[in-house]
Amino acid sequence: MRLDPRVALVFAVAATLSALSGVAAAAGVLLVALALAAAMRLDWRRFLPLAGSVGIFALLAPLSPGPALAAVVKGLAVSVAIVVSVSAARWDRLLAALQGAGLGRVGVAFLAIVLSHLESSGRDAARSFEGLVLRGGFRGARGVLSSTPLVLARTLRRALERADRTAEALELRGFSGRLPALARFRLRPADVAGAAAAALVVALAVAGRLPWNR
Amino acid sequence: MEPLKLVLEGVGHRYPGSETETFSGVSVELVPGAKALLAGPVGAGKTTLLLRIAGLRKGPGRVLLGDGDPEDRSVIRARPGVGFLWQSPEDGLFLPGVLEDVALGPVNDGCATDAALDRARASLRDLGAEHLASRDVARLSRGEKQLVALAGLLAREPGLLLLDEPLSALDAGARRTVLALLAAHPATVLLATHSGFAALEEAGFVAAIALRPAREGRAGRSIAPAG
Repeated sequence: MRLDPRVALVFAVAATLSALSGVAAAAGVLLVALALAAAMRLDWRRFLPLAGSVGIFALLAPLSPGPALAAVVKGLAVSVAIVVSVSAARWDRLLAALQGAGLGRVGVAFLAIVLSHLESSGRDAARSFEGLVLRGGFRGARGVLSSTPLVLARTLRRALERADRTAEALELRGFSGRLPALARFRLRPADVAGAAAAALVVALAVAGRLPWNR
Repeated sequence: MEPLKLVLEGVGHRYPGSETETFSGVSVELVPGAKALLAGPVGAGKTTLLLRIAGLRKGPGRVLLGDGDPEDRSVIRARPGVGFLWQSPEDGLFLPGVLEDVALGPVNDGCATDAALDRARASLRDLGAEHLASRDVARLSRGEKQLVALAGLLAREPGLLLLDEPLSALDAGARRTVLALLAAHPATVLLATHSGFAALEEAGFVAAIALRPAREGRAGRSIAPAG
């Protein structure tokens, strides 16, 4: 199930603003975002890039004073909501939605190049990993320790090599920061769920500001 | 766009720091609409020569496209009207969706999205690849990516097609479709390859440039009959 990119963007903005408004709202946003991820059957591996920071948050949380803990919870909620939103629609469609909302050509081109490059680098890393596994890498703890830097180094090197090629390819294709516009909006069941989630996180923020909740 | 005339006059290339030229003295004239072969073994400089023609490399000699373009530009930029197919098709693919990627060129040329998507669908259909339109690029085979990348070029209606090993990953049926399409296409076509000459010549392609690799300090040379 994929969201219309416009709905995904609305959810991302609403969830971010709501999470930043208070700790209780942030905790609510976290739950709503995870529920939306479950409803969309998002692959849990989408959250792997957050694993490192979540781990650090988890380690530091017991030691953190109040304000730091609040910042950790808010940051985590925003991160998860953005991962869910970005995963809910293809990145080019999200960019097309931003383009429709007024993002200029330079911004579209910059984000498109970054996201395309990240996608390609992800594929490179997966290929490097598989290649090393086929050649006996990643066996046992020692194998993981020795193979991981190889995959990271090769992925980084290929990303740098590809940067020039990407620039040339975009030049040859006449890319000047325009993406195909989105089709007219048609409400589907997935979008109802996304819109409900956006309304819920806004309600959480509003509820946190009510006098009897202060 | 109208097919473009291509003239190369003593074109050569040397990589920075290299003592020998990768190739030198390439001279040829392709009349508008010509279907020509750029032959040479791996490492002879075919891709570099194609990039030079496209405007993304500089070096000795002159590349004239259409009625002029005497290469006096200070900034290296792709020449308008040129479609370039990379040897690794994924190098030329950019967006995650097939139809949107094929439509990217026309949209940036100023087409409205609906018209660009129509052109993208037509290009895919011409290549027998309309069934790929709703697919994700990342999930395509190499041959399918080659077809999608080629469709992206054709959708821009170029006057000159520079194709680097465009048939290398295609099955027999797709090869026949692509060759027939290229042979009938109005654009001038320069196709780089190191194999399969018989089928290409049968389809109407004429051997125009043959590059030899530089070895042991001797500069590469070209055999380039005017055609």
